[in-house]
Amino acid sequence: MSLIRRNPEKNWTNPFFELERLQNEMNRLFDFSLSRWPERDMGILEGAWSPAIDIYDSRDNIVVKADIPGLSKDEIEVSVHNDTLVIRGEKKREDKIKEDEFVRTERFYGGFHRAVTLPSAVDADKVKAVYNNGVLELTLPKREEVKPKQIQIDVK
Amino acid sequence: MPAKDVIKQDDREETRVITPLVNIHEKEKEITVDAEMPGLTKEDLSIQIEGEVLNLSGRQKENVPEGYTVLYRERFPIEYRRTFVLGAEIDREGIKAFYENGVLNLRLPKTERARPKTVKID
Repeated sequence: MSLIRRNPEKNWTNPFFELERLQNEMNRLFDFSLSRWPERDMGILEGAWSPAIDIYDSRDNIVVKADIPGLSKDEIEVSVHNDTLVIRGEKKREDKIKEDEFVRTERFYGGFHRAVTLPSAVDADKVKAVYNNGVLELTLPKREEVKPKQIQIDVK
Repeated sequence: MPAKDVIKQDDREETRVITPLVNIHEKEKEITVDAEMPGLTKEDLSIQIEGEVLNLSGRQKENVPEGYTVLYRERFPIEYRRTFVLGAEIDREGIKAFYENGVLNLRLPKTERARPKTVKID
């Protein structure tokens, strides 16, 4: 993909002009859609976006990681209600950039939200959230009563 | 990274190659490229220029945290790759790169010749 905008002059004497244009458009399409996930592509085309997440489990905690590039930590809001975790935020456009400076805009902007049902109840007051390198990492401690209990067997 | 490294037997199921989404802006003196590549560190990123071509790549090293099992996974270990053609208008020596909040910001200065000139009318 070229970084420089090219605006070839429309020249009716060049029979390949339309072909070249078509080829450029096709290249652009392939640039955009190849090697991405089909389901996430659809989201982008429809103007909706939600971060990809992982959920990990251990005896004491549930860890949720979400890819949310390009935000500051104040722009992300995390809430826990019973066993439902909601991550929401808003990606704002850089307002320093003038309109005629845009060559290409593929990144998504606007509000997003993602709700996840957690596998067990967590202690909402003790949730830890870290945002680093565009990844939000939440550590959600499980409530005492849902933790698996080891039962000691006494041998008589 | 050569393609054969990506499809090594042991991680074929795991690694996904993704084209990072970019914004490109052309300013008076430079072109900026912002590429979304979350989950990397500075060291995981590679920016290589070979002739006309600038290659961006980065691979997430991250694994499942110790002592945890995977319940649900959408973020596979990802390899980001994208290639750009530079053209003669870019001063290769002056290219700078910053990585912040999962976004790689490339600043590619234009050569003196490619900058717009204002002609004064006497």
